[in-house]
Amino acid sequence: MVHLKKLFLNVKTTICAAIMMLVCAGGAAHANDRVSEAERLVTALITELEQTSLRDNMTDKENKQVLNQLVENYFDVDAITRFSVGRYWRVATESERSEYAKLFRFVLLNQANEQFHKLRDLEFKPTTTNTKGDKLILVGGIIHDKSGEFPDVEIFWRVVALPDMPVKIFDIEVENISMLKTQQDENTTLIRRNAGRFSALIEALQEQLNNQQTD
Amino acid sequence: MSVMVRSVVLAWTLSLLAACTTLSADEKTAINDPYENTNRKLFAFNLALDNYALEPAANLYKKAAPELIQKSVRNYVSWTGMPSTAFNSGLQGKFENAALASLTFLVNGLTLGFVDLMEGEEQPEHEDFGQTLASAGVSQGSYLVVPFIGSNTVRSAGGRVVDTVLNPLRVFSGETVSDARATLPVVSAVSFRATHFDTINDVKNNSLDAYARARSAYYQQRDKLLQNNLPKVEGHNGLDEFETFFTE
Repeated sequence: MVHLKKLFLNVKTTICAAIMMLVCAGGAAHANDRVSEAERLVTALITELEQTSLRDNMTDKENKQVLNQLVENYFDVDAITRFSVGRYWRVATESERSEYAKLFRFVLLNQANEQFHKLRDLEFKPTTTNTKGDKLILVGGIIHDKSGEFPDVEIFWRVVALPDMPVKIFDIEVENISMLKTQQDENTTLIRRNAGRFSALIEALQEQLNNQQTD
Repeated sequence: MSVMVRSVVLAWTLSLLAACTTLSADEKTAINDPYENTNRKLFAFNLALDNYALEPAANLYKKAAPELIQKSVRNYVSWTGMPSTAFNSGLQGKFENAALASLTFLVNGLTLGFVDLMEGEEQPEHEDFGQTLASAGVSQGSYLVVPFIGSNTVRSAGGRVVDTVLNPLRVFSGETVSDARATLPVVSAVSFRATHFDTINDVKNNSLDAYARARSAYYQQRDKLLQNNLPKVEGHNGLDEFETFFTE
């Protein structure tokens, strides 16, 4: 009787352990899937950028159209926009938010367009990928300048992997400097120095956009 | 009073000033800029200096000097920082790094630092006296823009003085060495500006607020350097600010 009880307990324990292992393995496999998805996303973006930068005879307008599409496909624009103004997103009105989102995107596209020609000689060499909690993945690599003009640069792509959503790029960290964090510090400083007026940021962006168009 | 004694006294005073600021452990690397208005004026001065002197010099250097020369100069500047890295690693108990920095300094000393004979080998991690002070629990103090030098905190400015004293060129005398010592800050500044030419121009020309952008970049780079010296700075629930954003 005691033997039977022991055997029953052993079987129960074994089944529990097996279920736990399956659950953990499932979780780990899911996490690995997301990591591979993030790596594939970054590689696909780099490939598209390389191919586009090699195309000659593209006008500024065509370049911007391509960049706009890349931003749409690969970046979490909504989250980037909200993060870039920090706590001031909450105090902005609905119309200020949509105006800011529109201007912010224009300015970024213009700046990206200016740097576009430099991509031609750059190549990305993946290094390591790490998960940060259960929603963020850091895809690391080295940007190598084939022309030899610049030394190698360490880069991390911060990819967001929300449940049941496709992975998207949230931030780029170059030589330990997060582009998004820097943008947030700049924007929030500007609003703070203008007595917390969100509209001051919109005015500054509008002015910058006007300057870019006259350049 | 000799230059060395004066430098050490100055560094010590700055470190004490930093130590007097009572910031919590969480805020050791957070932006703390109570002198922002004065700092902005000094930043404008440094920007003007860059516009009229450093940027044109770096541009000329980039165009005139072949990549090999530019690399040699970068190696040389890095080599002069090795004694400081070795000394500070020792003070922080990072003896392996101290040994590696000493070895790199001695080996590359055969070429006066212009050729990296240890290329491809493990490189020592940069350690300065500011990091040593951070390891000792000295808080960073306020953000300071120093004329001709740029972004600092009180702690890192104090550390910089000690690191300058530890420059290997100070040990030797003679006209050539004296010239090399005098020109090192200029060579180092031009080389750095040339290496980061487009990035710095981007900050200058495409920022809504170049001061805020430069300050943010400084703090982020410094935070990374201080990762091994300080307890990890995270939100209250153990998440960084990016993770926190997605949990809100």
